[in-house]
Amino acid sequence: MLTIADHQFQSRLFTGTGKFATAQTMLEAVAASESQLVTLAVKRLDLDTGSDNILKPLLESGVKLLPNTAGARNVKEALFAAHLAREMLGTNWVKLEIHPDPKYLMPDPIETLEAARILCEQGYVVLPYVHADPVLCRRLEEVGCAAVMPLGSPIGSNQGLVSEPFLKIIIEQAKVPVIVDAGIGAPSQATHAMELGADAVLVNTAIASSSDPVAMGRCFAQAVNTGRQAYVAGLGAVSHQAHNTSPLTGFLNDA
Amino acid sequence: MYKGNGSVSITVNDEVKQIADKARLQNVIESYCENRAVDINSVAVALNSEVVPHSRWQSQICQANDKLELFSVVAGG
Repeated sequence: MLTIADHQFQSRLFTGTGKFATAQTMLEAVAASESQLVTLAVKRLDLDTGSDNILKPLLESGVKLLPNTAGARNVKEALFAAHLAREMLGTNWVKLEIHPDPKYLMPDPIETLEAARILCEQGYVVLPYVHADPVLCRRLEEVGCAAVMPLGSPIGSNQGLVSEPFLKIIIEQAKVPVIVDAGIGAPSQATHAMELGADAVLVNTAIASSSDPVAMGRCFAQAVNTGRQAYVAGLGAVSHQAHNTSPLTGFLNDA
Repeated sequence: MYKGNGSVSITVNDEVKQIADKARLQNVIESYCENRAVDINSVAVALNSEVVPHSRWQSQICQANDKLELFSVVAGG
């Protein structure tokens, strides 16, 4: 069972709620994925259209909500978003994300570390979205983050685990859960992240942009379970040379 | 519905609104949400860029030129 802060999760698949064609599809896909932690964003109310009607059904479904600070470009904006989210949802959990660059959405490490330090001091459960930087992940752990969320590849890019060698180092060193976030585009990539020893993965675009998001949500649930079980079972060693799996002697009895 | 004398203008999400002088923040938010069928319990509010907790909506008095911002949650990753 995965524990973050004081909360236990049966599922190691976390899901985002963005980019789905309809709210209903999102809710069904989240249910099919068996995810117990879903992300949401904070936005200024639109004067004309009102708000998305997703909060009530999500709360009713029993999932835990993880508001993010998407849109924040610096410490100040991230703190503001976190405070708003706490007021709105009554949760002190926050997915801290600060990405000033709209093209690649690369998380800003300097602003993120400082915002994390302040939010941890203020009693938030902080899950920071960061580049797969082992040094930064240690620093975030030191300031009190409840988990770290290194990227596999750019947000929404479906490129998979481009950062794999660095994810391995982060997983090896971390004393808090490691959640691989961003870029996972296929169930096989989620399996692979879990086989590496990630504690969880966060998937949004790969499910939302599938032509059948509900079926894809189910696929990711299976993929994450399989990867986790394989990690726990222990993968066999990799070697350059062949090692026979059948006996090579005695069959032909050649003299 | 407001009990103050005269009216003052404030902005709500950048739109200029006339409200009663010395109106309570709670009343301003309520009337805004009711008009748009927004669930008031799922709204967060910033007054002049400071987050105002629900517990202070009743005691907070709005003043001329206040900048009020209302936020809600939306889908996101």
